[in-house]
Amino acid sequence: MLVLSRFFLRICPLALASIFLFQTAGKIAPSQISQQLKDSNSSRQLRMVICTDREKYSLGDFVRLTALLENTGDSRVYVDRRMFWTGLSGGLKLVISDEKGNFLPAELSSDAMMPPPPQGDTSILIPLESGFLYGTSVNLSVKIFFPKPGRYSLRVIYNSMLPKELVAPELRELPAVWFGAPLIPSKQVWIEVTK
Amino acid sequence: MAARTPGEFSTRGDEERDGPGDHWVTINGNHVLISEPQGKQPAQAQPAASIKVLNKDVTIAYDPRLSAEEKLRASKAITAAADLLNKNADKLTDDEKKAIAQISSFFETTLNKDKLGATGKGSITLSKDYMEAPGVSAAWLGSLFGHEGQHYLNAGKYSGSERWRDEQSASGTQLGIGNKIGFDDNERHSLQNWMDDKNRAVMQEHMEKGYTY
Repeated sequence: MLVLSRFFLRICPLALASIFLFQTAGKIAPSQISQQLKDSNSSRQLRMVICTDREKYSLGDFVRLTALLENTGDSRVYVDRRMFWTGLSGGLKLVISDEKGNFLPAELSSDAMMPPPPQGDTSILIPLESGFLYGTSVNLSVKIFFPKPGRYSLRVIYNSMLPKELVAPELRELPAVWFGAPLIPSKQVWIEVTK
Repeated sequence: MAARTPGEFSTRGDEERDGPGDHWVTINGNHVLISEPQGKQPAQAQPAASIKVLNKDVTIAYDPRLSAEEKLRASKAITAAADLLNKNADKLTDDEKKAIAQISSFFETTLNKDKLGATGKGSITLSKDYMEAPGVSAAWLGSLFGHEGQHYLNAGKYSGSERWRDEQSASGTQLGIGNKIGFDDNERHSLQNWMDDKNRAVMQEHMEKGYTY
């Protein structure tokens, strides 16, 4: 019960940050601009909220990290129901850095790309009403991910790998977070690792 | 009537009479006789401990927390992927074969515990949830051998602001293999989107800043 209370206490409000990664080039029809704005807005009204089950861990522990997309807007948004902890190509990228801001050294690339949805799959999108959250969690071995005692920050970045043109036609006009939408990074969450 | 081994099948046109336990099914428009022994349960299939991929042994390990049924499902999926690679081996380029040959083991884990993808020493690790996710076809799974294998080949080749090229290279190998083993249009399109030069900023972000977990 104590763990549960602390768990929820650690879910803190986050500021929305958006990164535009694509530049439009050439002539674009007004309808395309309108659609791009709609897609971008769907992404903007989501934020990534992360939390850990505790603040302090020893080397033999596991950190349970939960990542949730929260709809902070006033209208319904749709998101891909699949999320994998396999970097931006799978939807969720975990970034860990130490107290000095140094990123922990990368291991050999650890990724598995999100495949396209099955053709005609109309269940691939999850409707997120205003104020609702949707996400997943991961257990991180402290010994592997945080091998030395100290303070570490965790961040998670969400990237939609769902291209609009590859979903069932009846879903394409929904206000969803599609491939190419701005990345959605969380705020940092700090943990402390002791011997 | 000649004895048949369990699970043996024959097509219509046999002059043998149907025996007890025999039943006909239609596969690809052909009527096929399936013979099953009576009074016995079919032998329990076991998950494969290793598979041959392009004449190389690839060991398969299963998280002990997976149920027998889950292990069997994973085994079938991996075997189907390997079959596609083997069946189309003559279409693969030497570079694609080289990438695939980097993979020596495959580990299926339960959800959310281990790192996934190319996890070191020629291993691919995938979660049960990933393997059973909508869209993960045999061709997609087979093509991942090339993707992760190419990452092994690329080790140390790209650094700094060029790390996105590692991901583009791995995805390019995956696409080449996928096109030869049965990618559908969506799979092809999806991978092309991801590895396009226009997506380099995201690929770079994917590859840098510590763990790409």
